[in-house]
Amino acid sequence: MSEAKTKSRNFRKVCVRTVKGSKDAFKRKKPKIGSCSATGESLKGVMRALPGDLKGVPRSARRPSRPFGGVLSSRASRLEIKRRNRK
Amino acid sequence: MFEVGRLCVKLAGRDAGKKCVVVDVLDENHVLVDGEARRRKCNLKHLDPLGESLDVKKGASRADVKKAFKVIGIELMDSKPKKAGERPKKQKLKKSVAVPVGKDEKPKKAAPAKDKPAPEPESAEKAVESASKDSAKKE
Repeated sequence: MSEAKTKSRNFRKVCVRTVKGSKDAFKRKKPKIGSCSATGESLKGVMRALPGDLKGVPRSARRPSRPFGGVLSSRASRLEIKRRNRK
Repeated sequence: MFEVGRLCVKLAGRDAGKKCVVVDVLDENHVLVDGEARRRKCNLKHLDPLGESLDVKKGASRADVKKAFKVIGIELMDSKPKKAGERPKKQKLKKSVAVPVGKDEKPKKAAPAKDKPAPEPESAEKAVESASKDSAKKE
């Protein structure tokens, strides 16, 4: 019977070649490309990796270092900044 | 719209959302800004002009911009540049030569003993006696 963790769809099945032949391994799926919470367009400059893989990566490489970076697209963030300053 | 002294907000980059003032107009599309944002050349597309304008002259220094911002109740912080620390010097490792044990080892020469007296040369009489003994044996 298959293990409980393999039933989750978080894992993808990968065929790995071994000495004796081939074996199925289960690896975690990469997270999806981030999307802008205002417009829904895909975010640029956001790393697509599991948290464990981001350990050695500098913070500036993980997401844009501007305000709302990694949450809003540049177009949406400009509109948001304008809106806040014109109040 | 973007004349010297115009208060703006930066829209792009890591200084986005910070206020700045136009210090110089460089060309049709670029201005020099200073304030909460870093002092640098900026595209007009990356600026949002506000209704206010500050009393700043063309090419004003950082100190003048600071005074102008203080009037509208914004205190600018100056970050001191970090002093570069001394780099650790690389220490050369001494070469440790492995001494071979066994075949390749050269035998040490025996040092001459200093305490022993040098052998005295034979006297002339003894030499004559020994020569006579040799001749008698031969006969």
